[in-house]
Amino acid sequence: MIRLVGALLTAVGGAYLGFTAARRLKRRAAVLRQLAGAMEQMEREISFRLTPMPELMERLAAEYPPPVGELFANCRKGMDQLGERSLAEIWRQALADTNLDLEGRGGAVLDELGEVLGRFEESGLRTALAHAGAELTREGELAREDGEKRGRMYQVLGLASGGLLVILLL
Amino acid sequence: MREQGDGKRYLQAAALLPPHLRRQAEGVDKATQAVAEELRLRSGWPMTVVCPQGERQVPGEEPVTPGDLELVLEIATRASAHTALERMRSGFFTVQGGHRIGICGSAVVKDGAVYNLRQLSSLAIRIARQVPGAAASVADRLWEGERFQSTLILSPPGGGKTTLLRDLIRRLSDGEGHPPLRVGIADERGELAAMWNGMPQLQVGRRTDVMDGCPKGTGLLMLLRGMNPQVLAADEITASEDCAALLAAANCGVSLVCTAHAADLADLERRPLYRPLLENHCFQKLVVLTRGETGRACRVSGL
Repeated sequence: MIRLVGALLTAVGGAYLGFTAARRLKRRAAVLRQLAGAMEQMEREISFRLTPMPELMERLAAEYPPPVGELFANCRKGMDQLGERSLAEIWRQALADTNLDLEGRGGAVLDELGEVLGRFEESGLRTALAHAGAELTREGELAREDGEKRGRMYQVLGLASGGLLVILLL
Repeated sequence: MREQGDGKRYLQAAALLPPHLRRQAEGVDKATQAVAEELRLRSGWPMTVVCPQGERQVPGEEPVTPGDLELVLEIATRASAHTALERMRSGFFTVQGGHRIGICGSAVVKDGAVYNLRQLSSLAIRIARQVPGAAASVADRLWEGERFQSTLILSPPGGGKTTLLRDLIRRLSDGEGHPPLRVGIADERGELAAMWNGMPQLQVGRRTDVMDGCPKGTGLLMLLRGMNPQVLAADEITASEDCAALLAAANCGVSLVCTAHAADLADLERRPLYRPLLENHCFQKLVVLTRGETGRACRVSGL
């Protein structure tokens, strides 16, 4: 009986690992998609509504679910220290404090954006936001394709490795 | 007339600087802080402070960098320089506290007009000061019976016209010594009320409506049509459109209170721009400010 329960737990554990890895890939694609949407929104608000940056951060924090909303909330919180730290530093700190779980270009794109956020050269800021939005969209698409390919593979691998372990142990 | 001089406004203006420059500015002696008029930042040179005695370097040899200039704008606009872009195109913008930041750099021109400044080269932070009571010695002499007489304030640049005008507006609006009046201000350059987030940063009275950021002539007419003012105020009449709007207001029975760059009435009469206003008797009182060895003095006369 104990052996049976152990075998069952081993099989379920393997499957859990596989499904968790697949879910992580899916979440990464969703986060990148939301970030790309947020960049587009920032560009629109800055160009047409001239929304001040603190208000913009508040709005994005309220509109997007975690961890994307959390990134903007952290940045807004850090903006109370403007004068002591630059927005570039505040943005990087917010990125470090938020678990976006990005890989490859996604993280680098957001990091580079800190250099232009809040700067007076408006056209440069809009270009940078548009560029970041396009890159994040592309990364999101790659992450989606990757999730479809590798996600299925991780699920199968998880189930198979659990099953194999059970066979070996029994 | 004495400037409000406790150094608080200086420190408020210094708070717009990045930390290392702020520490330098705070190192300036208290006496200079109390009278300082501007902080000047030029790329490649140490920061300086402008006071009545002249321009002098603040303690420290560290030169200002282009990055420092951008950080000042970032702090002053709360990282929202795009919201101040329209004002920046005119060369300056007003920040919280009423301080004005004048900007200089490489202009980007589109369709013949300055669209933006790409590379900043220098900034001047003009410290906003107000002198409650500056108009106390002249205010009573500008009334005849129950009516405030349209008044023109004259002085050469730096003579204290704006300070006097602002305090006169405050007194009229708050009803100090006389019944309160509704005052409309056409504050094209934001020097009188220094509006920030819809709130005047300098005291202009509780019955005062401010139209800022638009040409004075347009602002005066908008106030006249929309806000039913009893007094219209404008600083530095410099264009024929301003004169036309003042004439229209005077014909509607509104009292005027304005300033102009001129040493005295004879100097003013030599300028064709002001002729329509003088010929149509738009102003009944003239205040001439002079700066002598003993300080500033005001002379009131009829027109």
